[in-house]
This record gives sequence, structure tokens and C-alpha cells, in this order.
Amino acid sequence: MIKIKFGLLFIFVLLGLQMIGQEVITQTVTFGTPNSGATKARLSGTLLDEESGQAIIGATVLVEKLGIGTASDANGYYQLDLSVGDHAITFSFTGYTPQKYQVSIYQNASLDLEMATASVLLDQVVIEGDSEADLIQQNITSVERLNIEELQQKSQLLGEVDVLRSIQSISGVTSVGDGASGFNVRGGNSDENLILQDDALIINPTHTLGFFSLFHPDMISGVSLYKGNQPAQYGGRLSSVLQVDLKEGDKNDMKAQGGIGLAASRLTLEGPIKKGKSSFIIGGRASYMDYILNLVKDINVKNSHTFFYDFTAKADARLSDKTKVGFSGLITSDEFQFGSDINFEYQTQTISGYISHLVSDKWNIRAMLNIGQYESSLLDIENINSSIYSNKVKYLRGSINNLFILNENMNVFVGVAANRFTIEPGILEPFGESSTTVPKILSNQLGTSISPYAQIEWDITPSLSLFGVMRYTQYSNLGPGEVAQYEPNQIRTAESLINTVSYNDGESIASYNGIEPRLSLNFKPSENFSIKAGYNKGFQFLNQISNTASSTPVDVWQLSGAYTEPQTSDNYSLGFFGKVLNAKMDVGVEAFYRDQNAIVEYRDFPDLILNEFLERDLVDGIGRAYGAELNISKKGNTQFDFNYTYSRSERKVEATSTQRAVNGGDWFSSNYDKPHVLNFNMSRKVKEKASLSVNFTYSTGRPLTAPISNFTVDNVRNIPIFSERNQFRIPSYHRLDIAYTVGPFLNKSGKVESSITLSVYNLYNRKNAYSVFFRQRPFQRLNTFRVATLGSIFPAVTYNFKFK
Amino acid sequence: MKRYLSLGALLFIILFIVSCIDEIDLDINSDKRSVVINGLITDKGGESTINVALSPILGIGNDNILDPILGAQVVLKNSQNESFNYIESLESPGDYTAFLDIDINESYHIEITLPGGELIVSEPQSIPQKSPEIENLDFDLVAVETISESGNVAERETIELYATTSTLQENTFLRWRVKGEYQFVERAFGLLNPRNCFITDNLDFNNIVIAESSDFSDRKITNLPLVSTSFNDRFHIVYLFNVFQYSIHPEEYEYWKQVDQLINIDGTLFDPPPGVIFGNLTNTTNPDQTVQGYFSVASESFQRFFAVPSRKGYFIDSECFTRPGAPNPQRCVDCTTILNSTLERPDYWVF
Repeated sequence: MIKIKFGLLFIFVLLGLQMIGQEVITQTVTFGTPNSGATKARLSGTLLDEESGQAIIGATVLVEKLGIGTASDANGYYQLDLSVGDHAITFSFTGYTPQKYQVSIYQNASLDLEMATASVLLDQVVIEGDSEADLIQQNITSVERLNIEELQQKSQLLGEVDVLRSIQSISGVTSVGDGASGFNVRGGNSDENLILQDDALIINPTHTLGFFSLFHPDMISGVSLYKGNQPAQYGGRLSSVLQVDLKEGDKNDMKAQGGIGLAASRLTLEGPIKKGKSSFIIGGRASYMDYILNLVKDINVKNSHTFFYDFTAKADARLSDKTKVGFSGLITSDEFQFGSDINFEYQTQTISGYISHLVSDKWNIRAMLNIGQYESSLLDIENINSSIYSNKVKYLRGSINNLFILNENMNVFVGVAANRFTIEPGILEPFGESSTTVPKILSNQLGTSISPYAQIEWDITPSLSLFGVMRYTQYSNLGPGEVAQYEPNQIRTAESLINTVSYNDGESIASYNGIEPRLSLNFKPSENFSIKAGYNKGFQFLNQISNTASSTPVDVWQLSGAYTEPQTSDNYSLGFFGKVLNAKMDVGVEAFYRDQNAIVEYRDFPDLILNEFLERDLVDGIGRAYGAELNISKKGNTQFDFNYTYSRSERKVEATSTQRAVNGGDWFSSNYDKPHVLNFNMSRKVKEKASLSVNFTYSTGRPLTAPISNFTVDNVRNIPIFSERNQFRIPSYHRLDIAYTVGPFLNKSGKVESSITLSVYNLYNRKNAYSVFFRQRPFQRLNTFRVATLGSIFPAVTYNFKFK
Repeated sequence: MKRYLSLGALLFIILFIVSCIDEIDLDINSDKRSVVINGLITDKGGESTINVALSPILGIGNDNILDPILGAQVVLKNSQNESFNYIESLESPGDYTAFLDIDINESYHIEITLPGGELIVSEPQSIPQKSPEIENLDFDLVAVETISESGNVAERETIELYATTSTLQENTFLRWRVKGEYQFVERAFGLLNPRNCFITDNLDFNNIVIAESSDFSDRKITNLPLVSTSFNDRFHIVYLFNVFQYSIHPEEYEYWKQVDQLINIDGTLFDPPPGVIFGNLTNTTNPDQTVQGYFSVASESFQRFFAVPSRKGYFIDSECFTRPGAPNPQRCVDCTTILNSTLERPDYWVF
């Protein structure tokens, strides 16, 4: 008992020390002299972790009295244009002790900081996008950033921190259901999101058919989601860019970190390669979930098997004060056997490298190269027709970017990006000696694109800023290949096929080009209020061909070609952002409208796998999405984040001479049209060492095509007659999660830090429908069934500890 | 070097995992009805029946059966515009029958005039290429895993019937139907003159078996499973499989593929979305009115196959007992109570 009391006293002492340690440190620095004659000066520098030397990405640099600020970039670099004179500047980032500087600046100056990790008593952080200063100050519209601490605050399934699950609490981001593969941003398809880990392109970001993402949680430093305007270097996807940044390894000490979870375990190692100069970080995860499947009372699920692993590595080195190089790589593998008949396997391998060089204090150049592939296969054991089907996407990407700082009010970013995609759309092979499956190999598709671009960030006046991009893209679909020719003004079928044209290696089958302008204006009439308007145009040449509710790992990808023009999207947004209640509460309202052309839709009963004439099953349509997002967040002892989105996502496929209409050519809801989405997250420090957090989410059920009658043909009874596409909806989705955390505590030696979290996912045990299907047995009434993939309460006790 | 080790040990308790699938009420209202036409002619000719009906409104009345349309005029026409009239059946409402001589070099279509005057016409179809020979039929006993209410895995024995065909010509599209018959012998304590009943068995309800030549290497179908049925006392003595193999047009093959897809949507992650299914019939009076069903023109091969499980070492006892006081079902003492049974031995019954 005495020991326990002593231990508690020790902890309190430590807590007290830690509280002292969290006091903001104020230092005074002077750059230049008042008689220099300049009226403006630029303050720039790099923010590094004091212990590891890693760049701190997304840290806030705030001039409090002026209400202006900026955030550090992927290299920890920041820059701030100031009027000459005295300024109080605060450097802060979640998990680090804030640093306050009294800066007297009269000339351009550099201020590099090493920030110390905050105490074990770090307050819980409400999930939020940019800080208020960022929301108001950032010139680009609709960008959200989450750091790892924020990701950890999100609802965790089976104790796993998950990037894709976390970003779904951001307004405008949804998914079609629990366990769905991918996510939807502002009414866009899941393949319209450009997903990058460092510089590497990720084709399928999920494990286990969508239940987990493939991003290693211990290796992430932060996540940025661009759901409106996209920076110039990004292109090729219409809806959003999800940029996942990996941590740099510790440049001074070796470290190990790991976790043992219900679904998977993980281990990370990091340390210096050459102390103070270069570092590495490597991490891996492996899963073990079969015992969960075995609990389910369904023979197919019980006989199922799932396994995944991933391996992530990153290394970086400072070659000189001005030159930095690095590479990162990712290898993942998934196996999912459904019942005893179907077996999926899919793998990602990608590696990227970069070199960054500071040519002068006003010119930075960065070159990047990325090579990778995504491969999936489906083993289908079906008596005499057992087969293995596989497809693959291979890519080679590169870019060169130049950042020029023209003056204190203007940056120009100029670069060029090139991509080469090779699609192996399908190989079918017999499985087993007795299989009578006829082997089939579809011809490869090759596509290249090159995009020069320029971007300007310009503070026109202190209250008006401009972010503009001019990007030109030239895309070519190249041979070898064959293109079917059909009777003019006839629906494309086997009967209307008249000829096939062959193209030689490297010969252009189809080419498209266009300009992708992007513009954002930020008007700040006061310190606490801004109005932003944005426009973003994009092209998409690579499409996932999938008509299921959730995309599957084996869905084929297709390049734009002779019959499929690039999809285009014009995105408009207008937002109002402000601080209220003495800057304790942030409020934002943003409306958006998207106009899409040449979207890929499907005729009824399309044949999407191993179809060498895919153009017969695809139809061409237009799309629109519109809505408004309301965000309210409050900081303090009780902090919350609330967002509500009203939006619609609709499509239209009209009859033409070469295709039939869908739903009579009228507008219809897309598969992911959810008019009402609400997210609420609250956390409260109930005691000194205890906090409570609550998550609630609600969304309208997604659209559904339902039977309205039935008929009989020969021996087949009760064949459903379905409504027009997506005329009904599945039940609405809502879920409440809570978590209560006690700690963290330090042990007597101060070497072990621990905390306990009690959490409940889906507290009121709602069986949220992932899908709804209908069954009418012969001579029986129609029955409607709901499939709930996470249809039960999931309580968990998590004990975390670290050895220091 | 400073050592840093972080380990998170997760203790996770699942209180319960409830069933993933359950029944719900969903408010779906529609009063849209479709005309449904269902019929077949083959190169063999003979009796042909065409059913004309209206689809039900879900949730109203008996919504799992079609409403027959009486008083329609059904005519089969060939390319020479020769007509063959179908006669409305008095016993089976909505059925219209005719006895036909089919010329395999002709093409045929039907014209149906509804009582309200609307005209429904099928697309003209020639007789498809001749159905290949059924070279062999065989069966086997197969154990199928099922799961009990308590969650335990159990095995259920089924009989599977397999077909082997002669080599197919290119672009051959096939569909199979299997109709069963079995012999049942009355059996009970004190029964002096047990009778033999012959029962027609509806074996392939909602069982769609189709194949196309390009799916098979060497265009040879070997041991294709046609039907699977529980191994019970229907197989006590002998079971007759009547196998109908139809050579059909590619459009009809696609139609059955779509029907198969629609009736097998079961809510998995990989279900394709449903769609509106189109047969080969059009309401020429009101083209916007979708007509459901299919009028099939096919070439037919037929074979009978008597399966005697005991010859393969598979035995199943009768469910009728001869000991005194045994609780026998009614059928053990009166086999005519079995649905679709007759005491008349078919002339092809060789056992």
C-alpha cells in the first residue's frame, strides 16, 4: 500500500514537472537593424524534432497579433512574410512543446528550430483539420490535415489506428459502408482519389477487402487530404488527393516500437545510418484474424481465411546543407479466401526516391521518381471450370519541381510530371489438371502522360491572396493493340462489329490533351474571418472498372482509349471561415459544386472481367455533385468537433446512337449518394489523468435498386423485376463509440509509460446495413435481408506501454 | 545509444458476434406490373405450351404467383407467314397449347394479342444448330458442409448428376433441364399387397445450367454437374433422371446468364448490382412497356438415366418401417398421397 501511495506521489511529482515543462518558452531574437530601409522581411527556416532530427510537418507558425501564419511543409520548412518590426511568433505542433519567439526583424532571415516532444501529459486532441489559423490563412481551399495524434483519437476497430477510417470523419468524406474498400470525396467515385505515400502511388490502399488500410500507423507523420483545390504537382484524379507522409528515422538514436493487437501486430525500427546525417525507418505488420471468422455462424465465413502483411521502409540523408536525398518503399500482400471456393490474393510493390537541392535562398529544386505495381488474382474453384484470373497495373512516374521565392508576397512553383502506366487487364488460366477452362490473355494497355505546370501563391494585398495553377496535360494511349470498329450509329455489340484495327508498338491509338486551370482566392476582411472561393479542373485517364457497391481487389483498371475519353471534372467551392466566442470556437461553412463529363457508367449486366470488348459494356454519362459542409469545433477542457454535410451525387446516361439510356436518360443517384452526413466527436478531461471521448456518426442510407415485382420462366420461379437504378435506399447508418482513457503513468524508474483505454465501438449495437438483398423462394413471399459487416457491439480494453 | 522500446499489448474481448444477415422491413411500393410470356418450341415439334400472365404487385395478395391472362390470342408464325394457332387451356389458366410440326430450315416467332388489343411479338428465330449428343450421364454421392443453428459444422449427403457431351461445334450454346422420377413401394406392418407408385419429382426448381463451347478446352464438356439433390429415400430403389439438353441462341444464353445472376444475389461484397432484364418479346402497341419472359426456339437432345445408388455402394434406407406400431408417414401405406404420383408404371420404366 505504501508502495502504491509512493508511486502515486511520484507520478504527481512527475506530472507537476511535466506541467512546468509545458509552459511556453519565450526567447528574443533580432535580425538586422531598424535603419535598413526595408518595409518587409521574410522569416524562414526548418522545424526539426529535437531528439530525432526529423522534419516536423504541418507545424503551425503563428503571428498572434496579426492573426497570420503558415504551416511547415514536408521538409519541415516554413516561411513567413512580415512587416519589419517586432512580432511575437509561436511555433506549435501537437505533441511538441510550443515555442514563442519575440522577433525583431528588419531583413530576410532564417530561424531554424529544434522542438522538444511534449510531456506524457499531453492533452487529448480533438480530431480536426487545419487549425483555425490555417483555415483562415491558407490560400488553397478545402485541405484537411491530420497528424498521428489526431489519427489515434479516431474510432479504432480492433485497436487498429487506420488512416482511411479516420478521414471518414472529415466533412465531405464518406464510404459506402463498414468495410468498404476506398472512400468517396464530395460525391466522387473511390477511384477518383489520388493516394500517395510519400511520393509513391498507391492503387489499392486497403487490406482485408477494405477493413484496414495499408498505411503503417507507427510510421506516419501526418495525412493531408485535398478535397477541393489540388496543388499543381498533383493530377490525374478528379476528386481528391490523399497524401500520407512517412516519418523520417531518428538521426541520433536507435529505437524500436511495436504493438500487439487483436487483428495484427506490428514492429518498427529506426535509427541513424550516419549519425546526425542520415537515417532509416523500417516497419512491418502481419495479421491473424481467422479465429474471428471462425466465430461467425455462416459456413462460408467459417471456412474463410484472411492474412495480410506489409513492409514499409524509408531512408533519407542530408548530403550537404543544401542537398537532401531519400527513398521509401512499400511491399504488401493480402490473401482472402471466401468459403472454400474463392481465393483472392493481391500485392502492392512500390518504391520512390527523391533529391532536393537548395540552389539559392530563393530557389529550391526537387526531383522524384516512383516505380511500382499492383497485382491481384482470383482463384475460383468451380468443379470442372476451376481457374485463376489475374490482372496487374504497373507504373513509372517522375517529376521535377522548382520553387522560386520571387519576393515576400509571391512564390512561383514550376515543374513537369510524367507518367507511364501499363495495364495487364486479365489473364485466365485453368486450375487443376481436370479443369476445362480455356486460357485467355487480354492485350496489355499502355498510356503515357506529361504535364508541365506552374503555380503561383500571391498575397495581392494583406487581406487578399491568390493561389493559381495552370497545368497542361498531354495523354496518349499507345500500341501495340487492337481496336474494334463498329457500324456507325449502331449500339456496340458483337453483331455491329465490322473490323478490327491493329496498332504497332508505340503507335498512338488515341491521344487527348487539355488545360487544367485551378484558382483559389482568399479574402480576409479581418483577423478572424475569411472568405475563400476556389475552382479546380481535372482530367482522369485511369479508371477502375467496377460496378459493385464496393470495389473489389480484382477490379480491372482501364486507361482512356479509343472509346473511353478521359473523365473531366470542374469543381467549384465557396467557403466562409471564422473564429467566434473569443476565438475559442471555429466555424466554417463551405459549399461546393462539381460538374463531370465522360464518366464511366455501366449497362445492366455488364461483363467486366476478361472482356476484350469492354466498350460494349460501358456507357458514357455526365455527373454532378453539390452540397454544403458545416464545421464547428471548440477547444478547451471540453473540446468537440462537429460537422454536417448535405450533398447529392447524381449521374445521367442518355441514349445515343451507340448506347442505351440508363433510367430513361434521367438523373439518378450514384451508388454513394448520401444526402445527410453528420459526425460528432467530443473529448473531455474528466480528471487529471482520465479523459472521455465520444464519437457519433450518422448518414443517409446509400441508394438501392430494389425489386418491385417478379415473374417466372420455365423452371425458374420468382425472378425479381427490379426498379430503375438506385431508386430506393438502404436504412440509414448511425453509430456511437466511446472511449475512456486512464493515464498515462510513469513507473517508479521513469522508464515505462503506460495507459489503459476502455472503448466500445458501436455502443448501442446497431446492425448497420452494408447491403440489402432480396430473396423470394418459390411459392413464398419476398423477404428483405440486411448484411451488416460490423453489426455488433465491439468493446475493447487496450493496455499500452512504452519502454524509454 | 539510447534504447527505445514501445510495445502496446492489446487485450480485446468480443462479447458476441451476432449473425451478419437478418431480415428487415423496407418500404418499397410500386404498382408497376409486366406482361410475362413463357414458351418453348424445339426441333422435335409435338406439344408446345405458351403461358401468358401478369406479374404480381409485391405486398398485395398472393405476390409470389403470376396472374394468368385469359382470352389472349396466341399464334406461331414462320418466315413464310404460315400461322399455327394455340388453343387456350381449360385446365391450366393462362396456358395456350398447340401441336406443331417444326421445319428446321424455318424461322419462327409468336404473336400474342392481349384481351385489351395490345400486340406482343417475339423476335424471329431460326432453329439453332443441332444439339450435340449426350454421350454419358453419371452420378456420385457428395458430402456438402452445412452449419447448424448451434454453429456446428455438419455434412449433408447429396446426389450429383453429371453430363458428358460429344465435341461441340463452335459457337454452341447449351442449356439443360432435368426432371426426376422415382419409384416408391408402400411398406408398413401388416400391409399385404404393397403397391408401387411412380412419382414425378420437381428436381430443378431455380436450377439454371448453361454452357458455351468457348468456355471448354477442345469444346468438350466432361462431367458437367447438372443437378444436386438430397440423398434420401427417393433413392432407396432407383431414380430416373430425364435430361433435356437444348441448343439455344446466344441471345437466349445471355438471357439465362442474367436470370441466374438475378436469382443468386445474396448480399456478398462482390454482388454485381441488379438490372432490368430484357427477353426477346416486345409490346409493339406500347414499346415502353417491358415484356418479361422468353419465347425459346431450341434444338433438343434427350436422354433417360436410371441411377441405382446401391450399384455404387451407396445405400439409403426406406423411411417406412415394418415393425408393429412404427410411426409411419401416410405415404408408406398409401403412396398415391405423394404429390405427382401415379400407380401406372411408365412404359419406359425398365426396373
